[in-house]
Amino acid sequence: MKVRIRLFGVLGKKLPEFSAPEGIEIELPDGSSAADLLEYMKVSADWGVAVAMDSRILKYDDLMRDGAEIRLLQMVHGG
Amino acid sequence: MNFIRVNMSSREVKIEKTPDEYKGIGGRGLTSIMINEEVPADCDPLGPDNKLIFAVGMFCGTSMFNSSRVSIGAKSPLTGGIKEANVGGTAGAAIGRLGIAAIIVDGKADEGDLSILKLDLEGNAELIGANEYKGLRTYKLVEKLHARFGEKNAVLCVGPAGEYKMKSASIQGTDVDGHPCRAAGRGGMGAVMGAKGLKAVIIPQGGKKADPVIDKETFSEASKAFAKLVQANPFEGELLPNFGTAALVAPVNSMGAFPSYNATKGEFDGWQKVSGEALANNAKERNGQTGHVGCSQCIVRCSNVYNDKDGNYVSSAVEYETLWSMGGMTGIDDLDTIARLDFLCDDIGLDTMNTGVAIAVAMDAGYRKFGDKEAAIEILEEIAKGSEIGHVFGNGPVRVGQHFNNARVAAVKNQSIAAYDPRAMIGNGITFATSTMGADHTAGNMVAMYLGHILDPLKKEGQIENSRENQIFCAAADSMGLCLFVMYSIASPEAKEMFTRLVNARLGSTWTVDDFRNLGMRILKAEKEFNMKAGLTKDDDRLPEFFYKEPLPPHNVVFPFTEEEIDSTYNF
Ligand code: SF4
Repeated sequence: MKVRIRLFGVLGKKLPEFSAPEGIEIELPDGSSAADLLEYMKVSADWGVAVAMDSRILKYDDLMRDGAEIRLLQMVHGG
Repeated sequence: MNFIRVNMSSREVKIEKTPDEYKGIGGRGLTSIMINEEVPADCDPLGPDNKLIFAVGMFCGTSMFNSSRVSIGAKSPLTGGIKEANVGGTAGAAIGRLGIAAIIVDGKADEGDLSILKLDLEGNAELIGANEYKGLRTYKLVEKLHARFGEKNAVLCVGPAGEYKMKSASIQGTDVDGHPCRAAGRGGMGAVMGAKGLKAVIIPQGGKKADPVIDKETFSEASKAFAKLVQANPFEGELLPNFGTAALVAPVNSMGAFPSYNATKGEFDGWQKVSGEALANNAKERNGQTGHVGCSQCIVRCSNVYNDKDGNYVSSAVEYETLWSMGGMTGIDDLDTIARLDFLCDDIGLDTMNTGVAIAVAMDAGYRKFGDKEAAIEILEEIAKGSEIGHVFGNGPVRVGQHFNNARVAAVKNQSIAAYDPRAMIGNGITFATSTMGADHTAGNMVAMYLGHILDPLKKEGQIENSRENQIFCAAADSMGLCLFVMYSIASPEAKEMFTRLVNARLGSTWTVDDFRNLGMRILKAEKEFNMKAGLTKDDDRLPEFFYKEPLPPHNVVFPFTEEEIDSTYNF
């Protein structure tokens, strides 16, 4: 499966190889989950990253859709 | 610590020791508990019986980081209930360092008569006639006050909107650069100050009269541990210094919860142009700034400086809520225009949220097209002039809805919602509906719970309980004098223990961990009691009808809670 990933916050600086304003397409085994993506990208658990697809925040075991745009966001509070 | 009591009718200024019943409570706790005790709930908010209270939080005046928030409370001319709006900048720390816990202003000057309240380094205060400053916008006013009294003074002031007693009028405070760009925006506190005839409060920085910290050693140890927690957290340590609150634009749009075009869509077409990332790029290209220190003693630096294409200052700080109200809601996707509107609101003394939503309601009614940049600027200039239509806009979105016969007004208790659609973040809808403050983004915001998988923003489970706990937490947090962003770091049980030690070291008190929550509940109960005495009922704890009837794309959902469920929020 292919997904287009886009990085927000300081994630672009932390993962320059995956950073481009229009996003980067990557290929993963079919049926990959949000957790699989984070592992593939070597995103550390303590970075507080949320994975969004189709206007929803995915749980880590949620599967991604082939062809989807996946946004990697940082945890943020409102105030 | 002392109270300064100022009567604007008799021009009497009295200094008194903080009465025992108010000792050890600061900020919103002090304003709300005092207002409930001392202000007749049925009074005219713009009349002499209302009290405008400036109360510093319990850490203001100490060496504690991020401890410069002052709460400003009164009966609100906007909501008709109790109100507290707090502001950072330099005033909170400066007032605290003068050994002053609160400034309580009552009475009312003769119509059209203006004064300033000038504090000195001994913690004394005097009223000075200020009719020469009539009509001045805040930047010009502060320039003149700094020239006259010295640049080292913090200033809290109103602009023309406050003098006109408009219900969206803010009280503006100076930041560390001396710009009046920090706002106690909500609830029309500027109208109360204007009605009293008080144009500004001038506070020298660098006072040395604060009550000493009781246990210095523990205070120093616990505040260092607290600072480590804050700086190790990716939100406070990384995200805010790089992008400020504008970092919220991408996540909230990515959840379809960014109310756009007067809350007809949950994702703004132009969100990437007004995102935190776009703002940061812009700052880099134009020699502006992110990671700007907006408030005294800040170690987080969420503020920014927005420059025009020639590198000249336009505004500071362009915040998430303004990018939404002046951007998403009005359909304006141009950062230069939003920054200009932000500056104009600060300069005229207006709440950017209430004002942006008011403009959006008018655009939705066909007064001007969504995205019309010039129209938005023109409207603000009409407010500044005090023209007839300016008064309509300056009194907020509900007034604008009446004027243009548009019932689609995203407001609760007459106060506009903030940048989270109640249909796509339904717990924020519960907070907007039930908060004693009217719809408010700092009263119990749930966005982090949605990003952190604690709650599903579209499912009812857990929303009411978490809104309740968040509201209790925020009421107590607003009493500390600390920026809310550092307060978010005390979530874990160990951090709560550490924070309790810090409070006890400050006050010499014997708080347990539960006392923080107890304070929050006490404050909310006092606020609720005042609101009921003022005539607000359960019917005021409701979202506008369109949130129940019009599905919001992209999720195409409506707000799902029943009235009984909403009413259970304050069961504690
Ligand atoms: S983080 Fe922002 S709002 Fe908080 S004290 Fe610092 S500059 Fe002020």
